[in-house]
Amino acid sequence: MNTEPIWKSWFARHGAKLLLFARQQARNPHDAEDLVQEAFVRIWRLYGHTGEVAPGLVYRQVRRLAIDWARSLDRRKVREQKVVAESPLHESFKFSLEQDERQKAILKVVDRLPPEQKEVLTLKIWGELTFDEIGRTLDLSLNTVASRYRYALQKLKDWLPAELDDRPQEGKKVQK
Amino acid sequence: MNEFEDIEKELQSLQPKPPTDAFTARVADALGDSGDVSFRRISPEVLKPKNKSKKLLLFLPPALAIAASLVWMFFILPSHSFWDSPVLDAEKIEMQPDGPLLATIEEDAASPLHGVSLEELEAHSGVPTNGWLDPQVQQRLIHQVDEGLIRRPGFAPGRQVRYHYLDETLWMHPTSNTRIISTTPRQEVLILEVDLY
Repeated sequence: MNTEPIWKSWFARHGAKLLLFARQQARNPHDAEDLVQEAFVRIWRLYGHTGEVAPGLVYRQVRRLAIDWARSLDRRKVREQKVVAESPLHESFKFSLEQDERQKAILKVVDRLPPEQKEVLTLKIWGELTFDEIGRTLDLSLNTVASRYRYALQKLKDWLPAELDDRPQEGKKVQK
Repeated sequence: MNEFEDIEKELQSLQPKPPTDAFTARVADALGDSGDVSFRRISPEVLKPKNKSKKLLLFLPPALAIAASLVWMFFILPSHSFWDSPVLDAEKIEMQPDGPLLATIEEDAASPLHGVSLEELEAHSGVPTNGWLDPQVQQRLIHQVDEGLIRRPGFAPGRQVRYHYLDETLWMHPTSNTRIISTTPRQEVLILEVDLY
Protein backbone atom coordinates (compact mmCIF):
# COMPACT_ATOMS: atom_id res chain seq x y z
CA MET A 1 0.00 0.00 0.00
CA ASN A 2 1.39 3.40 -0.98
CA THR A 3 1.43 6.15 1.56
CA GLU A 4 2.12 9.86 1.53
CA PRO A 5 2.85 12.19 4.44
CA ILE A 6 -0.37 14.07 5.22
CA TRP A 7 1.42 17.40 5.37
CA LYS A 8 2.07 17.24 1.61
CA SER A 9 -1.59 17.13 0.67
CA TRP A 10 -2.33 19.74 3.34
CA PHE A 11 0.33 22.03 1.96
CA ALA A 12 -0.82 21.49 -1.63
CA ARG A 13 -4.31 22.59 -0.53
CA HIS A 14 -3.40 25.59 1.61
CA GLY A 15 0.15 26.58 0.61
CA ALA A 16 -0.85 28.99 -2.15
CA LYS A 17 -3.37 30.79 0.07
CA LEU A 18 -0.89 31.05 2.92
CA LEU A 19 1.75 32.50 0.62
CA LEU A 20 -0.73 35.07 -0.67
CA PHE A 21 -1.55 36.14 2.88
CA ALA A 22 2.10 36.15 3.86
CA ARG A 23 2.92 38.35 0.86
CA GLN A 24 0.66 41.00 2.34
CA GLN A 25 2.27 40.68 5.73
CA ALA A 26 5.84 40.66 4.49
CA ARG A 27 5.64 42.66 1.25
CA ASN A 28 8.52 40.63 -0.06
CA PRO A 29 8.15 37.28 -1.83
CA HIS A 30 11.23 35.79 -0.18
CA ASP A 31 10.24 36.89 3.30
CA ALA A 32 6.73 35.62 2.62
CA GLU A 33 8.10 32.17 1.85
CA ASP A 34 10.23 32.26 5.00
CA LEU A 35 7.20 33.30 7.03
CA VAL A 36 5.03 30.49 5.66
CA GLN A 37 7.78 27.93 6.14
CA GLU A 38 8.48 28.97 9.72
CA ALA A 39 4.80 29.22 10.67
CA PHE A 40 3.83 25.95 9.03
CA VAL A 41 6.74 24.00 10.53
CA ARG A 42 6.04 25.35 14.00
CA ILE A 43 2.35 24.47 13.86
CA TRP A 44 2.83 21.12 12.19
CA ARG A 45 5.37 20.08 14.83
CA LEU A 46 2.77 20.84 17.47
CA TYR A 47 -0.33 19.38 15.86
CA GLY A 48 0.87 17.36 12.86
CA HIS A 49 0.55 14.06 14.72
CA THR A 50 -3.24 14.53 14.67
CA GLY A 51 -3.10 14.26 10.89
CA GLU A 52 -4.84 17.56 10.25
CA VAL A 53 -4.24 21.14 11.22
CA ALA A 54 -6.81 23.93 11.10
CA PRO A 55 -5.55 26.45 8.51
CA GLY A 56 -6.54 29.32 10.81
CA LEU A 57 -3.75 28.31 13.20
CA VAL A 58 -1.10 28.70 10.51
CA TYR A 59 -2.53 32.02 9.28
CA ARG A 60 -2.40 33.31 12.83
CA GLN A 61 1.16 32.10 13.25
CA VAL A 62 2.16 33.81 9.98
CA ARG A 63 0.79 37.08 11.25
CA ARG A 64 2.45 36.83 14.65
CA LEU A 65 5.79 35.99 13.09
CA ALA A 66 5.43 38.88 10.65
CA ILE A 67 4.88 41.26 13.55
CA ASP A 68 7.85 39.82 15.46
CA TRP A 69 10.10 40.00 12.44
CA ALA A 70 9.07 43.55 11.65
CA ARG A 71 9.92 44.58 15.22
CA SER A 72 13.29 42.90 15.07
CA LEU A 73 14.36 44.66 11.88
CA ASP A 74 15.73 48.14 12.16
CA ARG A 75 13.92 50.97 10.42
CA ARG A 76 16.48 51.40 7.69
CA LYS A 77 16.14 47.78 6.63
CA VAL A 78 12.35 48.01 6.60
CA ARG A 79 12.54 51.06 4.37
CA GLU A 80 14.90 49.36 1.94
CA GLN A 81 12.79 46.25 1.93
CA LYS A 82 9.65 48.19 1.04
CA VAL A 83 11.35 49.94 -1.85
CA VAL A 84 12.68 46.70 -3.27
CA ALA A 85 9.75 44.50 -2.56
CA GLU A 86 6.57 46.36 -3.46
CA SER A 87 5.31 44.05 -6.18
CA PRO A 88 1.83 44.01 -7.70
CA LEU A 89 -0.69 41.52 -6.37
CA HIS A 90 -1.34 39.99 -9.78
CA GLU A 91 2.14 38.42 -9.70
CA SER A 92 0.83 36.03 -7.09
CA PHE A 93 -2.03 34.75 -9.25
CA LYS A 94 -2.59 32.37 -12.12
CA PHE A 95 -4.32 33.81 -15.17
CA SER A 96 -6.35 32.46 -18.02
CA LEU A 97 -5.50 34.04 -21.36
CA GLU A 98 -9.09 35.04 -22.19
CA GLN A 99 -9.70 37.04 -19.05
CA ASP A 100 -6.19 38.22 -18.45
CA GLU A 101 -6.87 41.97 -18.67
CA ARG A 102 -10.03 41.94 -16.58
CA GLN A 103 -8.45 39.79 -13.90
CA LYS A 104 -5.41 42.03 -13.72
CA ALA A 105 -7.71 45.04 -13.40
CA ILE A 106 -9.57 43.43 -10.51
CA LEU A 107 -6.33 42.64 -8.70
CA LYS A 108 -5.02 46.13 -9.33
CA VAL A 109 -8.10 47.48 -7.59
CA VAL A 110 -7.62 45.01 -4.73
CA ASP A 111 -4.05 46.24 -4.44
CA ARG A 112 -5.31 49.81 -3.95
CA LEU A 113 -7.40 48.81 -0.92
CA PRO A 114 -6.19 49.88 2.53
CA PRO A 115 -4.01 47.06 3.97
CA GLU A 116 -6.42 46.29 6.81
CA GLN A 117 -9.26 45.76 4.34
CA LYS A 118 -7.09 43.85 1.89
CA GLU A 119 -5.99 41.30 4.50
CA VAL A 120 -9.59 40.66 5.56
CA LEU A 121 -10.62 40.27 1.93
CA THR A 122 -7.72 37.90 1.24
CA LEU A 123 -8.50 35.69 4.22
CA LYS A 124 -12.19 35.60 3.37
CA ILE A 125 -12.04 35.12 -0.39
CA TRP A 126 -8.86 33.10 -0.95
CA GLY A 127 -8.18 31.82 2.55
CA GLU A 128 -11.81 30.64 2.79
CA LEU A 129 -11.90 31.45 6.51
CA THR A 130 -15.06 32.42 8.33
CA PHE A 131 -15.44 35.89 9.84
CA ASP A 132 -14.94 34.32 13.24
CA GLU A 133 -11.68 32.67 12.16
CA ILE A 134 -10.49 35.90 10.54
CA GLY A 135 -11.26 37.76 13.76
CA ARG A 136 -9.11 35.30 15.72
CA THR A 137 -6.32 35.45 13.16
CA LEU A 138 -6.13 39.23 13.10
CA ASP A 139 -7.18 39.79 16.73
CA LEU A 140 -10.23 41.76 15.68
CA SER A 141 -13.87 41.68 16.68
CA LEU A 142 -16.38 39.96 14.45
CA ASN A 143 -18.09 43.27 13.66
CA THR A 144 -14.82 44.92 12.64
CA VAL A 145 -13.98 42.04 10.33
CA ALA A 146 -17.43 42.04 8.74
CA SER A 147 -17.46 45.79 8.22
CA ARG A 148 -13.93 45.84 6.76
CA TYR A 149 -14.93 43.11 4.35
CA ARG A 150 -18.02 45.02 3.32
CA TYR A 151 -16.09 48.27 2.85
CA ALA A 152 -13.55 46.43 0.73
CA LEU A 153 -16.20 44.95 -1.53
CA GLN A 154 -17.96 48.30 -1.83
CA LYS A 155 -14.72 49.96 -2.90
CA LEU A 156 -14.01 47.23 -5.42
CA LYS A 157 -17.47 47.64 -6.85
CA ASP A 158 -17.04 51.40 -7.11
CA TRP A 159 -13.49 51.43 -8.45
CA LEU A 160 -13.59 48.52 -10.88
CA PRO A 161 -15.56 50.18 -13.73
CA ALA A 162 -13.13 53.12 -13.80
CA GLU A 163 -10.14 50.78 -13.70
CA LEU A 164 -11.56 48.76 -16.58
CA ASP A 165 -12.17 51.95 -18.60
CA ASP A 166 -8.60 53.05 -17.99
CA ARG A 167 -6.99 49.85 -19.14
CA PRO A 168 -7.43 50.21 -22.96
CA GLN A 169 -6.01 53.72 -22.70
CA GLU A 170 -3.00 52.35 -20.86
CA GLY A 171 -2.57 49.84 -23.65
CA LYS A 172 -2.62 52.62 -26.25
CA LYS A 173 -0.07 54.61 -24.29
CA VAL A 174 2.22 51.61 -24.24
CA GLN A 175 1.83 51.12 -28.00
CA LYS A 176 2.84 54.71 -28.64
CA MET B 1 -29.45 38.18 -3.17
CA ASN B 2 -26.23 39.63 -1.82
CA GLU B 3 -25.37 42.90 -3.63
CA PHE B 4 -21.70 41.86 -3.73
CA GLU B 5 -22.30 38.34 -4.99
CA ASP B 6 -20.96 39.03 -8.48
CA ILE B 7 -17.76 40.65 -7.35
CA GLU B 8 -17.23 37.90 -4.75
CA LYS B 9 -17.64 35.23 -7.42
CA GLU B 10 -15.25 37.03 -9.70
CA LEU B 11 -12.64 37.28 -6.95
CA GLN B 12 -13.07 33.63 -6.04
CA SER B 13 -12.46 32.65 -9.65
CA LEU B 14 -8.92 34.01 -9.35
CA GLN B 15 -6.53 31.37 -8.10
CA PRO B 16 -3.27 32.18 -6.32
CA LYS B 17 -0.16 30.54 -7.74
CA PRO B 18 0.74 27.27 -6.03
CA PRO B 19 4.00 27.05 -4.09
CA THR B 20 6.97 26.14 -6.25
CA ASP B 21 8.49 22.68 -6.01
CA ALA B 22 11.67 24.20 -4.65
CA PHE B 23 9.74 25.89 -1.85
CA THR B 24 7.83 22.70 -1.02
CA ALA B 25 11.14 20.83 -0.90
CA ARG B 26 12.50 23.49 1.44
CA VAL B 27 9.50 23.04 3.74
CA ALA B 28 10.02 19.25 3.64
CA ASP B 29 13.63 19.75 4.73
CA ALA B 30 12.61 22.12 7.49
CA LEU B 31 9.94 19.72 8.75
CA GLY B 32 12.39 16.82 8.97
CA ASP B 33 11.02 13.90 10.94
CA SER B 34 7.95 15.86 12.03
CA GLY B 35 6.63 15.47 8.49
CA ASP B 36 6.61 11.71 8.83
CA VAL B 37 4.39 11.44 11.89
CA SER B 38 1.14 11.04 9.97
CA PHE B 39 0.51 9.36 6.67
CA ARG B 40 -2.46 8.73 4.47
CA ARG B 41 -3.02 5.78 2.24
CA ILE B 42 -3.19 6.35 -1.47
CA SER B 43 -5.35 4.05 -3.49
CA PRO B 44 -3.38 2.31 -6.27
CA GLU B 45 -5.94 3.60 -8.78
CA VAL B 46 -4.90 7.17 -7.99
CA LEU B 47 -1.27 6.39 -8.66
CA LYS B 48 -1.77 4.42 -11.87
CA PRO B 49 -2.09 6.59 -14.97
CA LYS B 50 -5.28 5.61 -16.72
CA ASN B 51 -4.54 4.05 -20.07
CA LYS B 52 -7.78 4.49 -21.94
CA SER B 53 -6.54 3.21 -25.29
CA LYS B 54 -5.41 -0.06 -23.67
CA LYS B 55 -8.78 -0.47 -22.03
CA LEU B 56 -10.52 0.22 -25.32
CA LEU B 57 -8.51 -2.50 -27.05
CA LEU B 58 -9.36 -4.88 -24.23
CA PHE B 59 -13.09 -4.32 -24.54
CA LEU B 60 -13.27 -4.08 -28.33
CA PRO B 61 -13.40 -7.83 -29.19
CA PRO B 62 -16.22 -8.68 -26.70
CA ALA B 63 -18.15 -5.60 -27.79
CA LEU B 64 -17.89 -6.64 -31.45
CA ALA B 65 -19.02 -10.17 -30.56
CA ILE B 66 -22.06 -8.83 -28.68
CA ALA B 67 -22.94 -6.51 -31.57
CA ALA B 68 -22.70 -9.40 -34.06
CA SER B 69 -24.95 -11.56 -31.85
CA LEU B 70 -27.54 -8.78 -31.62
CA VAL B 71 -27.55 -8.31 -35.39
CA TRP B 72 -27.98 -12.06 -35.88
CA MET B 73 -30.81 -12.22 -33.31
CA PHE B 74 -32.85 -9.29 -34.54
CA PHE B 75 -32.26 -9.21 -38.30
CA ILE B 76 -31.22 -12.65 -39.52
CA LEU B 77 -33.24 -14.91 -37.23
CA PRO B 78 -36.66 -13.29 -37.89
CA SER B 79 -36.26 -13.80 -41.63
CA HIS B 80 -35.50 -17.52 -41.22
CA SER B 81 -38.29 -19.97 -42.18
CA PHE B 82 -38.25 -22.09 -39.02
CA TRP B 83 -39.25 -19.00 -37.04
CA ASP B 84 -42.71 -19.30 -38.61
CA SER B 85 -43.06 -23.02 -37.83
CA PRO B 86 -46.06 -23.92 -35.69
CA VAL B 87 -43.95 -25.38 -32.90
CA LEU B 88 -44.87 -22.54 -30.61
CA ASP B 89 -48.56 -22.82 -31.36
CA ALA B 90 -50.25 -22.51 -28.02
CA GLU B 91 -52.93 -25.08 -28.86
CA LYS B 92 -50.34 -27.80 -29.32
CA ILE B 93 -48.78 -27.36 -25.94
CA GLU B 94 -50.07 -30.13 -23.79
CA MET B 95 -51.17 -29.01 -20.40
CA GLN B 96 -50.00 -30.97 -17.44
CA PRO B 97 -52.72 -32.80 -15.59
CA ASP B 98 -53.97 -31.14 -12.45
CA GLY B 99 -52.44 -32.47 -9.27
CA PRO B 100 -50.34 -31.61 -6.27
CA LEU B 101 -47.13 -29.98 -7.51
CA LEU B 102 -45.30 -30.26 -4.25
CA ALA B 103 -45.20 -33.19 -1.96
CA THR B 104 -46.64 -32.45 1.43
CA ILE B 105 -43.77 -31.55 3.77
CA GLU B 106 -44.00 -31.98 7.45
CA GLU B 107 -42.53 -28.98 9.21
CA ASP B 108 -40.43 -29.40 12.33
CA ALA B 109 -40.65 -26.11 14.22
CA ALA B 110 -37.42 -26.80 16.13
CA SER B 111 -35.38 -27.52 13.03
CA PRO B 112 -33.40 -24.66 11.46
CA LEU B 113 -33.85 -26.15 7.98
CA HIS B 114 -37.10 -25.99 6.09
CA GLY B 115 -38.59 -29.43 5.54
CA VAL B 116 -35.88 -31.30 7.44
CA SER B 117 -36.64 -32.62 10.87
CA LEU B 118 -34.13 -32.45 13.70
CA GLU B 119 -33.64 -36.24 13.61
CA GLU B 120 -32.90 -36.16 9.90
CA LEU B 121 -30.54 -33.26 10.37
CA GLU B 122 -28.69 -35.07 13.13
CA ALA B 123 -28.46 -38.27 11.10
CA HIS B 124 -27.17 -36.58 7.97
CA SER B 125 -24.75 -34.08 9.51
CA GLY B 126 -23.39 -36.21 12.32
CA VAL B 127 -23.61 -33.19 14.60
CA PRO B 128 -25.76 -33.38 17.70
CA THR B 129 -28.70 -30.97 17.75
CA ASN B 130 -29.12 -30.72 21.51
CA GLY B 131 -26.78 -29.88 24.33
CA TRP B 132 -25.06 -26.83 22.80
CA LEU B 133 -23.87 -24.07 25.09
CA ASP B 134 -24.85 -20.48 24.45
CA PRO B 135 -22.69 -19.08 21.62
CA GLN B 136 -19.78 -16.86 22.61
CA VAL B 137 -19.52 -13.73 20.49
CA GLN B 138 -16.25 -11.82 20.29
CA GLN B 139 -15.36 -8.69 18.36
CA ARG B 140 -11.67 -8.32 17.46
CA LEU B 141 -10.22 -5.07 16.16
CA ILE B 142 -7.71 -5.90 13.44
CA HIS B 143 -6.56 -2.42 12.58
CA GLN B 144 -7.75 1.13 12.08
CA VAL B 145 -7.03 3.46 9.21
CA ASP B 146 -7.20 7.21 9.38
CA GLU B 147 -8.50 8.20 5.97
CA GLY B 148 -8.04 11.91 6.51
CA LEU B 149 -10.31 14.88 6.39
CA ILE B 150 -13.58 14.71 4.49
CA ARG B 151 -15.92 17.51 3.60
CA ARG B 152 -19.60 17.07 4.28
CA PRO B 153 -22.10 19.40 2.63
CA GLY B 154 -23.92 21.38 5.29
CA PHE B 155 -21.75 20.09 8.15
CA ALA B 156 -18.37 20.84 9.63
CA PRO B 157 -15.52 18.80 8.10
CA GLY B 158 -14.81 15.49 9.78
CA ARG B 159 -12.01 13.01 10.11
CA GLN B 160 -12.91 9.62 8.66
CA VAL B 161 -11.56 6.63 10.54
CA ARG B 162 -12.17 3.09 9.26
CA TYR B 163 -12.06 0.20 11.74
CA HIS B 164 -11.57 -3.36 10.53
CA TYR B 165 -13.11 -5.95 12.85
CA LEU B 166 -13.42 -9.72 12.88
CA ASP B 167 -16.62 -10.90 14.51
CA GLU B 168 -16.17 -14.42 15.89
CA THR B 169 -18.96 -16.64 17.09
CA LEU B 170 -18.06 -19.85 18.89
CA TRP B 171 -20.54 -22.67 19.46
CA MET B 172 -19.48 -25.45 21.84
CA HIS B 173 -20.92 -28.89 22.44
CA PRO B 174 -19.18 -30.28 25.51
CA THR B 175 -20.60 -33.81 25.32
CA SER B 176 -19.19 -34.51 21.87
CA ASN B 177 -16.33 -32.02 22.31
CA THR B 178 -17.41 -30.22 19.14
CA ARG B 179 -16.54 -26.61 18.45
CA ILE B 180 -17.75 -24.50 15.55
CA ILE B 181 -16.24 -21.09 14.90
CA SER B 182 -17.72 -18.62 12.48
CA THR B 183 -15.61 -15.59 11.54
CA THR B 184 -17.07 -12.61 9.75
CA PRO B 185 -15.03 -9.57 8.65
CA ARG B 186 -16.69 -6.23 9.26
CA GLN B 187 -15.80 -2.59 8.66
CA GLU B 188 -17.02 0.35 10.67
CA VAL B 189 -16.54 3.93 9.53
CA LEU B 190 -16.56 6.70 12.10
CA ILE B 191 -16.60 10.37 11.24
CA LEU B 192 -15.11 12.45 14.02
CA GLU B 193 -15.96 16.11 14.02
CA VAL B 194 -12.94 18.32 13.59
CA ASP B 195 -12.61 21.48 15.57
CA LEU B 196 -12.04 24.14 12.97
CA TYR B 197 -9.99 26.31 15.24
